Amino acid sequence: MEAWELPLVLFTVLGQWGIGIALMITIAESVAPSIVDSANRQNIRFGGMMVLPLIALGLLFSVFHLGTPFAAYKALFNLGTSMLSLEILAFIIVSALALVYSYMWWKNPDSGLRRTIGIVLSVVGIIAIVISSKVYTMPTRLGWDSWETIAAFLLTAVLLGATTVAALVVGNKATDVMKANKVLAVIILLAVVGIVVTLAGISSMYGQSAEQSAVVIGTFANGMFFVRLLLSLMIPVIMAAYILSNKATNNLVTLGLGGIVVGELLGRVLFYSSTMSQYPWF
Amino acid sequence: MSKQVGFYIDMANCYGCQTCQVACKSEQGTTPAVSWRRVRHFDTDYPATHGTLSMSCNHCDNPECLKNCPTGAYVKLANGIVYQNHDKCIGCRMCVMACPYGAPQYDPEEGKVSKCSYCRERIEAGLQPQCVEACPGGNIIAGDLQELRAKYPGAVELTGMPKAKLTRPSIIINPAKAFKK
Repeated sequence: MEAWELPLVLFTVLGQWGIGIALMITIAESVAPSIVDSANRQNIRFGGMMVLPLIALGLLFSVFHLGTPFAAYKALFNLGTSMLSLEILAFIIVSALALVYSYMWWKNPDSGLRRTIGIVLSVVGIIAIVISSKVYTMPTRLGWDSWETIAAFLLTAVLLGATTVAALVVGNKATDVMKANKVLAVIILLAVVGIVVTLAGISSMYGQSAEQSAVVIGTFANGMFFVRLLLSLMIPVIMAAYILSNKATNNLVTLGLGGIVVGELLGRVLFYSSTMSQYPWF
Repeated sequence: MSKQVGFYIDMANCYGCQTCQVACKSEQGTTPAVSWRRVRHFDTDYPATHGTLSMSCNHCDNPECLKNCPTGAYVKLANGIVYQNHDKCIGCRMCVMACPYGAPQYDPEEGKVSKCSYCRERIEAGLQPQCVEACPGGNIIAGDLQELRAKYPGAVELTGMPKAKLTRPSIIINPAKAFKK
């Protein structure tokens, strides 16, 4: 259970989810500018307001990973070489942007500034996710030191963000909103393809070293992997198909979103446990 | 070239009594969860071989713990010791994840990580590290790495060990018979 690293699982997944929502709202709004004025206005406003609590909760959980949580501020003291210091700084900046972003969705959703901040938050958020993944791509941890780690972190943001925004605006029959729905469905499908390619990349590590082989076994021979297959790969495909055929409802996509969140959490548990359970390394 | 301390470890002559491990714990007063020096076992059944390797922090030339620590708790001293300023540790365990040798160890009771300091205080007092003094076989020798290399030829990496090129550990190992080609 200790190898699950639950505080880190919650920090990374919730943070990526929040950033993913801001990114997908930005994309949906660029495809369908009227989305904010549509019948789903309250829903999408709720989505924008969700960004801050998700990122703030993630940061809060990250502190519980520390042996001495009250000394968490010291994690900023080695920005020169430590990716973890950089990650914390990046997420503090993301949190500040998310605070302004969610506040504007609450108080002034029609503001042009809110859209601009959404774009900035999306870009800075993606950079923060890449930095977050680089914390683990250390040359000494062979199972993590690969493009798959970076891809896995980014794809969580894309999949959860696209599904959340789809759940908020689906069912609206306005032409441009339906167009945005279709774009979101395609993004969900592309994220699933990305996850499959990433998993294939992880499986190809087998035999390269004892540590990498143990990561492959720890990932694919774990019962959680099959639950994740169902929740974060099969459910999104089914949901995307429903959205593309205009048969999806808010309730259906929201239910699917719940499953996908659980699936991504399990996937992240496997990411940590497949490596951390090998300690002591030597 | 800057000075770099290191360890020569005579694995071929080590019979695994673990006196070094106990002496280290006794000297440093580490908790039950933490052993700065540990004796690793390299036994095989077919063919029947036996090997034990005493190892602590290797005070690497390229220490990953130092690079990855977010608080800057690790410093490379002028004599090459990779030293942890324990007060700065917040127990994030990045160094534990980063070190391929498992040298930094987390103490759940304290909520912090600690590691071998090459008995810095003893060295500064003109003494040898406690493990070196305690080994009944004289199988651990401390000193300047260049001088040790000149005196004791050996390996920095054995089969099954982390790749030495990653962190450039300051060690020389005289391999047990099973590891000699």
